[in-house]
Amino acid sequence: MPHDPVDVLIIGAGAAGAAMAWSLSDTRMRILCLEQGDWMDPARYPSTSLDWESQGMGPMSLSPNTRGRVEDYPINDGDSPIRISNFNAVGGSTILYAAHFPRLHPSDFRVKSLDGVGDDWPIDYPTLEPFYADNDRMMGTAGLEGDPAYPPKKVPLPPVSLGKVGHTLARGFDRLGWHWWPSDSAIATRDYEGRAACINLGPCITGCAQGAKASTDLTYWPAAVRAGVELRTRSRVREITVDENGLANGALYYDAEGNLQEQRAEIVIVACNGVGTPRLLLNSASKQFPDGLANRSGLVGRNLMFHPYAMVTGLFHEPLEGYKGPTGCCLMSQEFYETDPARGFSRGYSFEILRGRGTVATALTGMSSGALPWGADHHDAYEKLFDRTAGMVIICEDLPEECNRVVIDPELLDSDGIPCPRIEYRLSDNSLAMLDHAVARGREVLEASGAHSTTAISPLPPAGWHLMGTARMGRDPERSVVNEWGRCHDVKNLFIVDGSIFVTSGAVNPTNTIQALSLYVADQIKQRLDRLFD
Amino acid sequence: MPDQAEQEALLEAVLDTLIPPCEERGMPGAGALGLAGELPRDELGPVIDPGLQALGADFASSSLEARQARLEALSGEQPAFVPALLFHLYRCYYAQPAVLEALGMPGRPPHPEGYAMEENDLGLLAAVRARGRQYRDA
Repeated sequence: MPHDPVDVLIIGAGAAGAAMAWSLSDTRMRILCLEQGDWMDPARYPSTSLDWESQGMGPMSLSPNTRGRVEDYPINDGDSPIRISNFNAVGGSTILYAAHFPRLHPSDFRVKSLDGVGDDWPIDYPTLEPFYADNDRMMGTAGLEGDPAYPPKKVPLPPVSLGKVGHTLARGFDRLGWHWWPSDSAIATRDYEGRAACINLGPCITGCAQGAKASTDLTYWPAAVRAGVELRTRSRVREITVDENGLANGALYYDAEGNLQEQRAEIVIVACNGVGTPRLLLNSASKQFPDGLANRSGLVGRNLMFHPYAMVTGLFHEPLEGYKGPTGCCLMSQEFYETDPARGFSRGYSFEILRGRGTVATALTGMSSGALPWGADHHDAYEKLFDRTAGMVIICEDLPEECNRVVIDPELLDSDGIPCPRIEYRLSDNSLAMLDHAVARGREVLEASGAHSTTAISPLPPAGWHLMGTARMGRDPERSVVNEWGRCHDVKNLFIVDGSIFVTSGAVNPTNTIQALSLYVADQIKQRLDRLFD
Repeated sequence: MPDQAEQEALLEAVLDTLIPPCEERGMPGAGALGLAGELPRDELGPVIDPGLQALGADFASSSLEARQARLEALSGEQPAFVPALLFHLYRCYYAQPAVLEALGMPGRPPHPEGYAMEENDLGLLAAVRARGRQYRDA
C-alpha cells in the first residue's frame, strides 16, 4: 500500500539532507525525509562512561564494518589503502565527525585554470559565500575572524580552547614563521541556540554528550521538523523509481520490520554521501537507465576522492593536558595549502593539530609500537608516554581520477538484502609526493615545538572520513552527473546534494561546503519552482 | 588441572605480573584490582587457558621477578598469550577510577563535568597577522 505522495522526497538525514529539508521548509511543499538510521540519545554516548575509549573501538567505531549496527550497511573497502568511515542515524556522519569546519578556498573552485590539474567547478567561492554564512549561523561555527588564509568572513562564536597542546604547537609554527590559526569548529563555545557550551570533554568523535557539537540532529532537524518536514526513520531506500518518461517518481524502501514500502514524490533529492549516493543510483538501474540512474555519462561512482591523510605525532617531556578539549579541533595551518611548483606536486595540504591520546589509547599504541613493555618496567615507560604526545593529522588534496570509484559488490548485501558498495581506490603519485612533503614538514614543526621524537603514519588507513566526487557537478552532461545547480543531467526532477557532487576535494574537511552546497541547491530549487523541470 | 579458585588466583597473579603495583606512583596492580572478572573469558579462553595450565599453581606464590621470567619463557612457546591478555587488560585497567586518579586525572567519565582549560593567548598570532593575506585570487 503506497504512502500518500509528497512534493519532495529527501533520502538521507545527515549533513546535507538536514540543510536541504530546513531550507525548503519555508515553501509549504510537503517534504518527507527517509533515513535508514534512528534518532540518537546523547545521554548514552560513550563520554558518559569510564569505558568511552573501548566503546569508540566497537559499537561507536567510525567504521560501519566494525560497528555492525543494524542501521549500518557493510562496505567492501578491502581493496583500498583508505577505509571508509561514516555513521547512519539522524544527523548522519555529523554524529561522529570531529566538527572541523573550514571552508574551501577561492582557488579550490579553479583548480584546472590555476594549476592545470583536476577540473574547475561550474560555480565559484562568491556564489557559495552567502550559503557558507547561513550555514555558519545555523551550525554555530566557532573561530576567529581575520584569518589571512581566507577572504574576510564572519564567525558567530569565539574559538575553541587551544590548551597547552595548542599553545605549544602555535609557538612551534611561530618559530618557523608558518601560518596557523584557531580552527573553525562547529562547536558551541558559548550556549548557542539551545545548545550547551562545550566543556572540553575530548572525545567528540564518539558523539557529543554535551550537545555542544553541531550534529544536524541538534541543529537543522529540530527547526525543519517544527516547520512541518516529516522525518521517517529506520527507512532504508532500496531504489529510486522512475516513470515511463524517465522522471523519478519516488522510492522503494524497507521499514524497521523489513517490510517493503513505496513512497511517491514529485521531486527526489539524494543526500546519502559520496559512497551511499552512487550505491543507490547504481542499485536503481531500470529499463530507461540500464547502467544505473542518472548514469548516462558513466561517471556515477567514478572520481572518488578521499583526503589522503598522514598522522605525525611528537613525544614531549612535559605533560600537555591533551585529554582536555575537542579532540580534532584546535588549530590549523595552511602554510602549504596553495600550489608551489617547486615542491614537486600540485595543490597542497592543511595541518590540523590534534589533542593527546587517552589513557587506553596510550597503552594500546605503546603496545603496538613496542614502546610500552609489560612487567616491572611498565609504569616507568607509561609515564614517559601518557599525556606527553601532541601531533597532527595532515589533510592532503586528492585529485579526481576515474579509476578511483564506488561499484556494487557482486556478493555483499545489507540486512535487507540490498547490494552493498565496493571501493576501488589507489593513491596517485601526486598524493604520495604530497604526503612525503607533508610528513617531513610535520616533523619539522613538532621538533620546533619541543618534541624530542616523532613518529608518522602515512597514509593513515582509517581516514576515509571525506567521501567526494562520485556524482560530480558540471555543465557538460558527458563529463558530469549533475548540473551547476545540483540537478541530474539525465533526470530533471532528481537532485544530489552531498559530497558526491564535489568536482575537486580541496584540502579541508568538507562538511561546511557540503552543507553550503545543499543550501545553494535548495535556493536554486526555490528560485526555479515554476520552471524546475525545463 | 587447577580448580576454579586456583585458576582465578593464577590469572590474578598473571595480571599482577603484566601490570604490577607501583607504590611510589600509587598505581594498583591489575590483578589486585579484580580485573580478571572483567576480561572476556569466553573469547580469551582458547588462547589463554593452555598457557595458564602450563604456568602451574605455584606461579601465584612466586616473586615478581620469577613470574616475569616464567611469562617471558611462556611467550616463546605461546606467543599469543600475553598480547591477547594485554589488549583487553589495558582497556580495563586504564579506565579504572583508581588508575586515572593515580595518573593525575579525575577518576570519572568526561561527561558531565568536563574539564576547565586555560585562556587562549591569541597574541601568539601577531606574526601570522603581520604576514598578511596568503590566499590566491580565483
